[in-house]
Amino acid sequence: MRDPEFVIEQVTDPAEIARHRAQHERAKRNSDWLQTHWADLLPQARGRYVAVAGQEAFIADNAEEAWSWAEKAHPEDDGALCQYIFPHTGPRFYGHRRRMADV
Amino acid sequence: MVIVGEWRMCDDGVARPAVQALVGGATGTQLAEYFLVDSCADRSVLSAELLNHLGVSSTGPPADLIFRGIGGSSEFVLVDIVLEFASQDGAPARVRGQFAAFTDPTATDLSILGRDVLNHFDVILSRRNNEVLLLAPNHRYRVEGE
Repeated sequence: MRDPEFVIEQVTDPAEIARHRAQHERAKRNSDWLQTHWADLLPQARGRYVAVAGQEAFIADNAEEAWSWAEKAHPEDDGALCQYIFPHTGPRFYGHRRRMADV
Repeated sequence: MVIVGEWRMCDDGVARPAVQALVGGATGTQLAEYFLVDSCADRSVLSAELLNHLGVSSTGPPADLIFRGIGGSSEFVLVDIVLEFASQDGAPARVRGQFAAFTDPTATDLSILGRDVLNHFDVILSRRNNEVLLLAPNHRYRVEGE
């Protein structure tokens, strides 16, 4: 199995760097907010989608609805995040996961 | 170039190593996404919800390429995209190429950064020091004893 080939480069254009920094910071603010507000969103968000924009969350039944809320409620926020929330907790193995039984 | 990630608190109360990227396709729109730093995954994979919202055109994988994990195989497609990571010196790093993307929205909560990308970096995951770092070849690390 061959690994795909990637081109890796560093951005040097000052305008591009500034644009990246601003969007990165907005996304980080939303992520930081989400990490400290899980308790407000669970368990109702399990098996559903959470969008976070403008440090505010919205729970939706599908990703399209979640993104649509973000774009309407916070059109200025290009750092909006959307994430599926697994319906169950317990140890996770990524790559491809299935629910595990306790033994 | 040092890409800086974080130990990200997930919905189950577990902090996992992740790095934020701005993901862009041919249209120029960039979306923010957090990637799980998964050194055991052979390939990087985008989540299905990111794939759908990016709106990039995709191609089916070759017949002999199957993504298999503990629970079985997952459907995926291939997309040409650019990932932009924040670096310590402020100038973002771009990774351009063909990535896989799940088509099942319930396959994963986070996109996955696997060894196909991680092999280009020295990867430091230290929960004790609260560090997630990807070092490009112009940086190095040193292990020291007391």
